Amino acid sequence: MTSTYETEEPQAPEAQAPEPSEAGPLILLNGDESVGMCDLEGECR
Amino acid sequence: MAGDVSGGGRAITVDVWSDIMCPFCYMGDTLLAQAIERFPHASAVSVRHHSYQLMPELSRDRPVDLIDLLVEQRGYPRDRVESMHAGITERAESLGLDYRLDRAVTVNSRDAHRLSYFAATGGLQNEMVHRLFRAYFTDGLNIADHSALADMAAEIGLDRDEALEALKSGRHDDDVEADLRQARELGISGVPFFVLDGKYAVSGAQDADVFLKALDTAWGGD
Repeated sequence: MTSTYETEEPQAPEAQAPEPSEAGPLILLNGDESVGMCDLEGECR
Repeated sequence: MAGDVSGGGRAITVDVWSDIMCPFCYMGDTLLAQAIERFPHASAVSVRHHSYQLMPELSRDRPVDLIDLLVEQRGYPRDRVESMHAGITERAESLGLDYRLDRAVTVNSRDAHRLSYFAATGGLQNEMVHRLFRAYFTDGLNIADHSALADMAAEIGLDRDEALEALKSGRHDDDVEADLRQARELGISGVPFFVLDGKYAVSGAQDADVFLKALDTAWGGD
């Protein structure tokens, strides 16, 4: 992964499943590493 | 959704939130596809694309230069943006993707997302999304221009006139809005973001091995 913009530490999403009535919280399988993403600030890292 | 006899009729659905103008989304989609190809139950995997807008404030009618946008509106030093683009382009190339960020036409992506949903009604959403990615990152096409979008729809086998009518009438805007709302509910603050069977998540354009492991987990996780 090529480093892009410098940003704050990535955040580990504590998200709800698409169908909350059918599933519980999402289990993030890549830990809290969120490289290779672009966010709402327009930053890509 | 595809079935898999070897899996006793089981299936995995991968829901992908992405924006057409997100460089890592095109890569992530490519890496996911590579993982699915290697997955022993590939025929049991279906992918659904969902809309996300990184820059919803952008105009449909006034395209901007991506580098100028980042420099003049986001405040990044030009040399840093160019270095960043070089790094992104290099990684894309390693995946067989031809990024021409210097010619990217940056606009509001909402209509492109609506076209993705139009294509989904014809079973061609994946093909449409890939064509849109290529249009933005390689071809330097305006993905908010209805005529250009209709041409792309025709390229993948959809009816051009129907696509144009859908674009002009605002069709599927509710689908896009629902995706954006669901992304907020999920706590998604960046893309690409992948959800497997509504239970497991992968954030970012991770290596294909990560996606393969996620598919294995989803397959055996019920």
